[in-house]
Amino acid sequence: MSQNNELLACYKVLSMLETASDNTETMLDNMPGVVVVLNQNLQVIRANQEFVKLSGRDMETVLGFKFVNLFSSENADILQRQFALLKNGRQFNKRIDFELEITLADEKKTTRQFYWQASLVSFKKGAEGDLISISGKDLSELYQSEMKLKNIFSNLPLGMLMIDEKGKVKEVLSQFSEVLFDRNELVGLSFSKLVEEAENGADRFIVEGLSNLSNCFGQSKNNYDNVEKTFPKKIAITDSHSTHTKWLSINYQPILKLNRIDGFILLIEDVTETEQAKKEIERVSVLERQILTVYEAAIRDPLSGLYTRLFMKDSVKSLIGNFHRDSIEELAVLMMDIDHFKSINDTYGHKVGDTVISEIGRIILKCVRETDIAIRYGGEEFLIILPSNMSNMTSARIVAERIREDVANYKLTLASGEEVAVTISGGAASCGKGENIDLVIERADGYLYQAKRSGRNRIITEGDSEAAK
Amino acid sequence: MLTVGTDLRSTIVGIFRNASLVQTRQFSSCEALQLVEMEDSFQLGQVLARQMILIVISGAELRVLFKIHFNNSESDRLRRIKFRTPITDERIAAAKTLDYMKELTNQVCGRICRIFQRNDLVLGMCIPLSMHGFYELYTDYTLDDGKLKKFGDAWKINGDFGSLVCTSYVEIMEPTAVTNLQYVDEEVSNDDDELEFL
Repeated sequence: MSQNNELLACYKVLSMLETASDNTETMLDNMPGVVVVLNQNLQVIRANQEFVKLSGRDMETVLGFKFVNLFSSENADILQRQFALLKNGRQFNKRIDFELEITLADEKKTTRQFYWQASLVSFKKGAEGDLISISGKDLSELYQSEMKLKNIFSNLPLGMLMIDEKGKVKEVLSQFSEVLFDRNELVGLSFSKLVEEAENGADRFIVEGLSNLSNCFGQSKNNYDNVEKTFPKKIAITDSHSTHTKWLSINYQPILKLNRIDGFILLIEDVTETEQAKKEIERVSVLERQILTVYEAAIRDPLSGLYTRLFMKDSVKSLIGNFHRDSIEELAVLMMDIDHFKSINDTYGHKVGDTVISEIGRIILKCVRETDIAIRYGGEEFLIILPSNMSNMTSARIVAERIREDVANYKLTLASGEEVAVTISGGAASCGKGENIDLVIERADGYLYQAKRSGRNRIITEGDSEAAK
Repeated sequence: MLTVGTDLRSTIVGIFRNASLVQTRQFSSCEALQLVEMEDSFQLGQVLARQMILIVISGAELRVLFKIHFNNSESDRLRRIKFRTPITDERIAAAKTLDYMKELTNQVCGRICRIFQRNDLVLGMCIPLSMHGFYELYTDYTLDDGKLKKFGDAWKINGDFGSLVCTSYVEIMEPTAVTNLQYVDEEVSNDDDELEFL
């Protein structure tokens, strides 16, 4: 190779080295996080852009900058101690990791938390002495997020506890946990004992369930579901003044490590209000049933099994309303009365009289449709309202005749063997649209009177010129 | 004529120092430059600036590692004394400044070589190489080891632009060949030498 070629090769190699070195340095300058090399006086001899920004200087003036100037005097002392530890013995494979806050030189003296890693640079001890290479990661945002999360947890009306393998509270993740258990400090306490004390002596199932919780540690997740069923899900605790019972619901979240249970997070919620609301709902439900029974007793005549006049007011009003709104095409009112009922009472006594009323009530109920309303209107008087889609009088007559016939065919056998025959008479009137129901009842009563006068055991309907049997 | 020391070390160091000052003045067209000693606390091998230009001057009798350490902002000001046109693009300005400093280092070393040549010592020099100033850490400044005479030196050239730092490290392989070294620079040489450049 000629001398010229050698020179050219040399030039090429040097140019290449220069470019390589320049690129490496640019990469180092732009490395994420803080990178800095300090000399024995803790002065910067190399720094990347992030550090330059942090120091408030530029790439040229940062040279010689005292690294400790980034820290408050207290933190600078801590830093010096860390470096002394590092330099002790000049172990070049030794690295120290620590968190330390820096204080920026701005007006507000902003502080930022950093995670630092420092190590001695393996290098001959030259004019700069032992070199320390440092990298730093800004944790401010992480801290802020953590603080935010902590605040959220703290303000959640939810208890969050971490339980260790001994069943003791390892960490309190929400401050509300202490409020729930009315304690100042929970860490280190046995959760089982905590519940036992809070419950004033927990029952056997709760104690066993909580003991199962401790036994789960190290166990496979596959068997967990069956054991989890035994954990107490709801406990009632009494506060220190024993004045108020608090209901707590507990949710168990296992923390897994290689599919084995390594811990538990307990989510505890105060469900006292829900429990109270449940009880209130139960109480209201019982009350509603009682009211219904009372109402039923009020509207249902116990003797005949028919509705009373009290019910008539509501039901007839509703029926008339439907009728006036054309939901029902026809409406008839049938008034019936037991013939010679007074003589039955007088002859056989009130007990027999009551039996007669009861039996006639049963017959009426058997003969009317579900849509009809049968009412015990008076002592031996019955009123039946018949909504219908066919001619009102046809429908009323069919029902009335069926009742009359069934009553006539009925014979009450007394204990003496004597048979008592009963008959019933009826009058039916049709209700016109917009007509007052009381007037219709009055008309039906008139037809009943006609039936009685015509010899009883008969039905007279509106429009009949003659009594029908 | 600039004065230099009487012993070998002082003579060589004097040659380097004066050559750097004279050539920088000449290259930058700035007469108001001063040669300033380093601070007392200074030790050779310390990182001096963000950048440095390195040239190796070598011959059979001696080897010299000559460096100029500088920061871009200062050397850019120095460059502008002569080249006044402002460059708005930062990257171009930085590249221009780097080239400027390479040329300055090259000229200083060229001047040193010519002085040695006048003393019948033929030395060659490499092309200027730019590096991060941090690499000064790797420079070997070991002193005499019994076989070779070695010494280093550092000085500043200050002016309104700021400051440059020059460092040199000399290894003498043939002490006898340099014993009678005389400082004869171009400013004091005859006109013929000047004419060679014209």
